[in-house]
Amino acid sequence: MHELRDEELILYFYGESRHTEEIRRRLDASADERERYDELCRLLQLVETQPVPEPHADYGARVWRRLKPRLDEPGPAGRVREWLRALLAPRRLAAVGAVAMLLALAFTAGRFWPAASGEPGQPLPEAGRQRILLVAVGEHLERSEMLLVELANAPREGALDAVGEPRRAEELLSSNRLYRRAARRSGQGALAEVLEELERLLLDVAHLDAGGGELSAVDLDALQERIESGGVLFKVQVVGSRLQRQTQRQNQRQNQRQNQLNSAPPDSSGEV
Amino acid sequence: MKDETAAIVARARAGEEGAFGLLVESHSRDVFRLAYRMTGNRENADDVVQEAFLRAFRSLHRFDERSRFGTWLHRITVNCAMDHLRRSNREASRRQPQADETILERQVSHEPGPERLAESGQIELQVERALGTLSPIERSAFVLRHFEHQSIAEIGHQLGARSSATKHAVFRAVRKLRRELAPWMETPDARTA
Repeated sequence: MHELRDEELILYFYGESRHTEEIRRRLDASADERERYDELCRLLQLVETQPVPEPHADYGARVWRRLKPRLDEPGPAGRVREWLRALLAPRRLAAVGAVAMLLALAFTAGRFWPAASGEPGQPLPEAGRQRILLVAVGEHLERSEMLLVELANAPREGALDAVGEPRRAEELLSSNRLYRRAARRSGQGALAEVLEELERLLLDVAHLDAGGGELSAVDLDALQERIESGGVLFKVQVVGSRLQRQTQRQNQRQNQRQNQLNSAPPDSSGEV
Repeated sequence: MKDETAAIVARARAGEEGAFGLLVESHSRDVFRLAYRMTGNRENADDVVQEAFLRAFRSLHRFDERSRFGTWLHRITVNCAMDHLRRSNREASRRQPQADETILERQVSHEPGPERLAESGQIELQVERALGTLSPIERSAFVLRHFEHQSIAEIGHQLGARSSATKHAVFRAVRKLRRELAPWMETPDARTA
């Protein structure tokens, strides 16, 4: 016969056990188990001592006086409607259209413009590969950070999309695996470890039970607790900003070299 | 009494602001007690009371008249209190100094101030501090089970969680409370020894 587990004793204390009779017999028969149960009772009675201050007799009237002027404030849905109205104002709409047109033009030009440098088929030097890895991992961390921030700040009543979030996590997961291996191969152990930790969290998000299309409060709470207590978000932010600084420094060095080359006299290289 | 409340709710739903005022006045004290249990301090409880009534007012059109207004308001209050606890936890985490990037583990401090130490008993403060270490879902599940005497099934329904998850939230809460309060459950002699 197994020893009574804490969980069984807690349910028994609250009258929610399905084995009440059996537990009662066991407690009567075993002094050790009785002592454990008494200790649980003492703990929960100790919590019971926590007093709640009795509100003042006119508390209700005070609440109403404070509340009444706020009833006309727009709620979250009203704020979204106001924002949309402002966005869709004719002048604003024209500006949004112009920006969209510019983006479309830039995209089209990018597809037809020939590549500025680099011979086709020529392998990139090691430094170049490292730089590309840094930029790609930096962008990946930025996208992951956005997902984690959204999850960490999701309100309980926000009806978090239980389909969209796991799908985003799944997409991030596949690139995370590639970057983690690449980081490990190139000897960047600290980066690989952060990516490994991120991978575990992304895996959990990707496998969240969609249920009725929304995450349950408990799933969300457990996830938010993991994000906050493990410090994953903080680590991703720190590593992400380090990579960004590193990339900026490399870009600056490259620009300086390029400028030096451009400003050097044609014969300074010794070649004709 | 039930019919009377139902009639006032119907008037409030029809847009009569004064009728909603009557609901506020008659339910405020109950809402405050629950909010206080959930948040652990008067100021936060007052904020939750305001937020709960505001949310109730905005959602009155969704209230099913076959339900009890008090039960519906209770549920809104629990949600508001949980949102409040989440926000407080996050703000407390952000306030932690992050001068050294190697300090990745952040911890929320729940230590009471000297004034509180002077005005309350040590045990009560320790209990409050211990409750403060619970996550919003653990605290909600525990408060609803322990103080509000709701069943696990009812709590699960209220929190939008399965019964097993709700049970585990209560188990985790009790484990944490035991860890935090263990020294205070010994005899005074044992503690000072």
